[in-house]
Amino acid sequence: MKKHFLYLLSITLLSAAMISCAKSTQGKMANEWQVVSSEENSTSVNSDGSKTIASRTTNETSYSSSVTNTNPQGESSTANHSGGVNAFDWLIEKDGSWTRTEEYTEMDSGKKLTYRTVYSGSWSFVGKNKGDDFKKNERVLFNVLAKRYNFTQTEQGATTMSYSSNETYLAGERVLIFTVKESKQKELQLESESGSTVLYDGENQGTNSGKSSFTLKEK
Amino acid sequence: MKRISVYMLSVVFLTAGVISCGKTTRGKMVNDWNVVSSSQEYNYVSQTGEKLLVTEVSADNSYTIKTTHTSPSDSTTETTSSTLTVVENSWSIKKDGTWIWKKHLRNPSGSIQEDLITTHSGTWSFIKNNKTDEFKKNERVIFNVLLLEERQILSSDITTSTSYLTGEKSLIFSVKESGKKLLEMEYEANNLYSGSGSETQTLIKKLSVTLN
Repeated sequence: MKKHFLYLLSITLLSAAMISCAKSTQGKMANEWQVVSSEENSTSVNSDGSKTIASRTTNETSYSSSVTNTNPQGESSTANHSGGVNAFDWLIEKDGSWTRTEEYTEMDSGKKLTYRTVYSGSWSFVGKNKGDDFKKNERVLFNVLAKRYNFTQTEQGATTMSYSSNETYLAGERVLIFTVKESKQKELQLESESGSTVLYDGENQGTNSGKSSFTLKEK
Repeated sequence: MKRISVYMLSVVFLTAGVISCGKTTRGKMVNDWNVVSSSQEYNYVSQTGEKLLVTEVSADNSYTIKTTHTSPSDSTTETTSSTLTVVENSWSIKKDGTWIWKKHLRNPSGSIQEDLITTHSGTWSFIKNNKTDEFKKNERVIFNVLLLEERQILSSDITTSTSYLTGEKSLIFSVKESGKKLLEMEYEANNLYSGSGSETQTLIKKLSVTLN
């Protein structure tokens, strides 16, 4: 009986040790995803009372954005943009690499504007932390190692203006850190939040806050 | 004999499991450290030929800041240098996942003594391994800055403080050396920008700290 108990205890402990090693959401993260919806909001308030509120939402086919600037006198102006989503894909590979491709088009007085950005790099989970209560594999860090940007303007099928740029970074230099809100085989929800306040000699000099959320579905 | 083998095998696997799960450098990271030396480099080169090199070297309780600026118009170079005294340069990494880096520098030159106290504090975590960039488990550590306080004591005592949320502002270091009484960490950045109008811009940043 005692021997059986020791066998069972050994096997139980062995299993527990192996389970606690498993990266349970690594397999769920790695996939060829499409960003089916996204929402980005930010608010910036200065000490003189002026503020900027920006928002941007996308779905599978279109996007809309809005920026409202309010001066210290309380007068505000809003710029709205909207257009089509040609691509918003997020490839997360098992080998630790990732690529996010975004392409949008917008019509402006008969001109077709196309914006294409491709981010790529490496990704890792961030370890748990007692100080901020994050658990294992609850946060994910995307290192941006390269950013390629292309802009083209076409009129009646002919390109009338274009611009492109390339940027490279080292690991850890430019990062996107997300909290995993939902992680299933065919759906992934990522969220990031920011909120900074500057105090100079105890006086508020300004606040910035923002939230971005992305819902990804398997392609 | 067979039973003994099963026991031993279980114990060996269990030990291996525990070891491979164990964050072997967590215990080594946690300490009240002193920054015994640090070097920081900021190197910017623009397409027009403008160059800015800022180096900050701390050793033997002195902190030297050198700035070299090369003007693109006439290629003239201007260099400035100042040396401050290190009153305190401590880095406390706690088991509860929090950390505080306090750097107190004093400028003894001039008619009035100037004190500059910079305090970063927040939470820290290891970054898991990654096959692509070949970083291994517990080889990289992220220090989330939740509060940055910059205090200047000159004729008056003024503090500028900025608070952040987790993940908004961070310092990511590679652990170069980790012993019971020594910790070496390095941060490196190399941003190269090139545009279709032949614009180029290079920004290299390097920060290495040795704590004991």
